[in-house]
Amino acid sequence: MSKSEKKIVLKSLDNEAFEVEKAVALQSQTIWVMCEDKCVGNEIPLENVTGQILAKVIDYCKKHAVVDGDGDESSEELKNWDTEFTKNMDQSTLFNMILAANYLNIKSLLNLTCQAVADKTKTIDEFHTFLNIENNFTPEEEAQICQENLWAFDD
Amino acid sequence: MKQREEKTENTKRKRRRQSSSSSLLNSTSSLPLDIASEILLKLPAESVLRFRCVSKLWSSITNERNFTDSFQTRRPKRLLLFFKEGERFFVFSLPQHNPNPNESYSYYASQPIDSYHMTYPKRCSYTMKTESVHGLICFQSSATPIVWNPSMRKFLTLPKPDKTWKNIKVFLGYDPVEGKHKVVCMPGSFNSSDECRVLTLGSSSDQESWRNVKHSHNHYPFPGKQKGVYHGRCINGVLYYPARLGDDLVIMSFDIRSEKFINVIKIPYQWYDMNWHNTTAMMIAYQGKLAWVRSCGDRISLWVLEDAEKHEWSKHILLPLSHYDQGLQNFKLVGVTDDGELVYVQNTAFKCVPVIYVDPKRQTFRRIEFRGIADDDFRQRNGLGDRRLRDLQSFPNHIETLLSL
Repeated sequence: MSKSEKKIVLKSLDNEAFEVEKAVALQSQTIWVMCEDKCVGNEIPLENVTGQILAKVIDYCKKHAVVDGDGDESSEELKNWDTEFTKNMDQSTLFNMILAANYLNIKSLLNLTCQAVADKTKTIDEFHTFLNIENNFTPEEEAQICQENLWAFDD
Repeated sequence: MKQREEKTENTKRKRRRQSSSSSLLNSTSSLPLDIASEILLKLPAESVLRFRCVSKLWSSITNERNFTDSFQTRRPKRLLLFFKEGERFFVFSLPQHNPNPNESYSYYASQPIDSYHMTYPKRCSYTMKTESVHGLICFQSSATPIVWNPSMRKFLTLPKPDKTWKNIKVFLGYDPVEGKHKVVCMPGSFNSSDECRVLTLGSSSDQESWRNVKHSHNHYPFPGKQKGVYHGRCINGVLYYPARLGDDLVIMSFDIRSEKFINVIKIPYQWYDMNWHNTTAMMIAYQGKLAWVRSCGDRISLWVLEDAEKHEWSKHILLPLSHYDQGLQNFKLVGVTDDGELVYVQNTAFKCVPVIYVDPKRQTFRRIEFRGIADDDFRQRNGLGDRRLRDLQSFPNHIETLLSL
């Protein structure tokens, strides 16, 4: 395999280009399928992911490509790296990472980011804001749901 | 209460603001349904209940059978611990998994994952209860069964199984195929009987009534007692309970799904040879099979049921706790984890709550000191005085379930 075939260029929604090792990019099932189809060249346009988020996704894939190669995915070191990776992400970044992981179909990253959101999100309002979910309950309906499990609303 | 009103007020403001505020995600990138469910599955039960208020969709996701089933199976099993002080009922959920599986000896400290207290139902017996069966425990108040879901913090008083029964013996079973809990009741008199009533638990709106099931043998079941000696055990959809049949001590088995009695199993030794004063016996689920454990001083024997129809048991001699550590006293076996670790606890506690896990096959031993249950600070905050906590009850392999009673 020539050197150029080992590399692949990922292009973000805002036209930022990232050259990465194929082995790194192929952790994404979506990219894997695109490469298999051979309908794309060496440059893969990713229309749902911004450059800022894609850079982080690539960081994650690079780390996991190296460690996966050693055949020790569940190592303590990798776990710690994952924790650090999501620790300082704000919620909007996290939610965008979830969407990217879902679109790119990277199961372990989706799992990691969903866990981080579950750990960090404490209020109903945060879900409304960050996930862009409309609260479609009438105040009466909402009160009734609260009433059913009052204890869960105590701090 | 004031806090809650403020919270509601906040939510109202948010609702008004919602339409005009631009979200951090653009409006086309709404969250796919399976991701919402993925996030919800990673939350503790309490948060799931709270986040039902996020939207109608979220509320319906969390009420679906698929979701509640995944929620149960994905949770690690816990050691449920509780005690009662007057009418107050203190409940703790302790981690059960082994963080250092490669070490043969380990001693460490840990904290409860969750704890709360609530009011204990009036006139509900504390001594008569079932094991934790797929997240639920059944108590009783004379002839009335009372089901408790510790994750939902709810008690449900069931109708009486039979108006003529002055007392009852209660067992709880779970059918893994249909995903249903069933309460099994028999008359609590000292006479043998062939009567049995079964009720399926479900949402309160379609609570079914008691069904009549006949047993082909007149027998006298031993109910669940405080020391756990005669708990019924539900393993893979079959409920086992010890009973007197004529002059014999046997184990009855009842298929929860078909609601039929299956085998009458002989216990693995001549039970009348037992010296009742220093011997305890109990049934446990050992690696998916029914096992009978007999402790007589330092001698502990474990029989595993290999074939119920042929009454075939395999016998194993277990090393006593003193083999692992000389300084352990008053620890009682309460069950086995899915990894095959025997769980030992004390039923009183002062300062810390120690729990011991022993794997008899791999000969591993670990002792965990749980803080935050019996220490000075906790006792002072809750007005528990400065004496030992008593009558601590421990139930291994407890799971969180969102089943609404």
